[in-house]
Amino acid sequence: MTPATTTGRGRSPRALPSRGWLLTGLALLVLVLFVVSLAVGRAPLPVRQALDDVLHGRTTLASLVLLEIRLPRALLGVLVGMSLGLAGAAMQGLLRNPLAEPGVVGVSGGAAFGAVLAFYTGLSVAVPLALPLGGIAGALLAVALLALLTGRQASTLTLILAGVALNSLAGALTALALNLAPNPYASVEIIFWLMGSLADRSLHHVLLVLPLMLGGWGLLLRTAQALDGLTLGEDTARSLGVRLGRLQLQLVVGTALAVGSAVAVTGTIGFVGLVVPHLLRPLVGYQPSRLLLTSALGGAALILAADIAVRLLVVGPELKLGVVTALLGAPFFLALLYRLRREIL
Amino acid sequence: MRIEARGVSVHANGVALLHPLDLTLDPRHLVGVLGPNGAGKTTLLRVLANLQRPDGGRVLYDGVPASQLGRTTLARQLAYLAQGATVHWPLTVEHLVGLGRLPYWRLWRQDASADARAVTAALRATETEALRHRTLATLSGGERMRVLLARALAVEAAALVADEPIAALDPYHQLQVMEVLRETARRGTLVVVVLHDLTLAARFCDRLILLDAGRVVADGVPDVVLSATNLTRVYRVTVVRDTHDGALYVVPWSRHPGT
Repeated sequence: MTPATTTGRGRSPRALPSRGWLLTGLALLVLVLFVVSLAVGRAPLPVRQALDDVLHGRTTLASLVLLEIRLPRALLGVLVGMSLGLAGAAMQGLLRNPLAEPGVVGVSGGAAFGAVLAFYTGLSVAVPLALPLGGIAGALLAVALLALLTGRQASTLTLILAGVALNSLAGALTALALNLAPNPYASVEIIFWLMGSLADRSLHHVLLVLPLMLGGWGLLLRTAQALDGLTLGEDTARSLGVRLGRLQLQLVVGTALAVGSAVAVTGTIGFVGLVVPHLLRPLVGYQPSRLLLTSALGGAALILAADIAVRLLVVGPELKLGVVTALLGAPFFLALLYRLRREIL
Repeated sequence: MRIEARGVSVHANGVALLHPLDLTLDPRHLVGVLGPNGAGKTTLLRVLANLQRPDGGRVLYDGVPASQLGRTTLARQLAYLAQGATVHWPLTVEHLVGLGRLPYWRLWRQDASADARAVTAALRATETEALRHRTLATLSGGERMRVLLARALAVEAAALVADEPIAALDPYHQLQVMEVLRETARRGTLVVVVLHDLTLAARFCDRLILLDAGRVVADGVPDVVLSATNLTRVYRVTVVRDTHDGALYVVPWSRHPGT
């Protein structure tokens, strides 16, 4: 093995951006995209005047559009993006597999089914926040089932297999709900919701998911060192003082809170948790701990950018965000796999 | 550190992997664990390293059971080098060796200069300083093993438990790793190592423990443990035994007939 055969991997760490610069750069990128996201939309909005109105407490059409439509959308973009990026990085660290993503353990599927059930039963019409609450309940139910299936000292393989089983179950139940939908309109609504979007969400949604996401992020960020230890395998990690059972619990509950609540308000937005950690990993020298926050900011940037693109691309009805991320993410990931297949196998 | 096993036994699915055994392993010793495949060497090591709970008996670390010692304290005092250890991400050697400092971290790094000193010392001891900025994927098998050993040394533990650290190495690097292990023991550390090479075991270890079918067959200085009778009985081979420069060497010569 010569360094020439592994270009990119054998690169000196001196060529890497320092931790501070990388995080600052990504945070600035998120900030810029956030502002752009406020300014961009179907209806033209005089941003400066809207901001002025808001600051002076004047209720005008412009200030309403900014506060009620644009702001929740941009805020949710940041929150959901961070959740997906962070959970993706943590999950890849736990499973030590660059193909893992938050959906692997069945949390996304459970959340989607919970939300669909709220749709199906008509609760979402009767109670304003039934949809996100249903999603979160679904995510937590998935976690409870996962814990039941895997027990306390689960191997990684058991965790993956349980996740696969839960995803199929959630998928089957979702399909059943579609199958039994009372009218075609309900089915179409469910299908569109499942595609994932940030449009038409309110500050109530933001306030509902914010504490759950913060809790989830806290749990996920605390796994940093244990994930580094896990690089050396489970036995060695344990000899370094890592509690594997606790690590898995933190990660699964953290993912349920962060991704479950994200799916619950936006539908399923795929590939962000898969592609973002993968892209950023070389920039942090492949260290799982350093990837967490980096990947969270990268996820926020990607979601904001994709959501801006959705609004700028005018092709009939507005494209769903989840459709766009999947359209961008899937080919990108295929290309990545094709390039990396020798290293992965 | 002194590790004591008292009546330790392990069984899986009704089969005894380790019959109840008592061992006292003293600091400053390089202890070799020998035995044919399936003798229970790895099981014994995992129990000694508190990675596996014995089904009977208990293990004491300087007289204290692991449950009282606490996970972090034990992690600082006992380093474990796994068999054929895999590394899952292409970290640089420096970061990888730095993982040996994890037991000293709280939510973040506590003492960066102590960590840096330990990493540098570990790299120097294993002669891997020049590899510091390389990634593991670019290293040869021998370099990898030395780097993984450096990771274990960076813990600066009072006991080092290593499972077949020289199995995949060429003769030069086998000698080098054995020298590092002996050096580590001379500095006061208890080093317990699983070996298959009888001559290296004879030359470098202060004490050998010969296992067969989950029982300690012989325990003592190499010259006594590696007797022709013991080796024939346990390994089912006849050996050539002689001395060179006053040191014992043992070469397996032929399979023993009728066993």
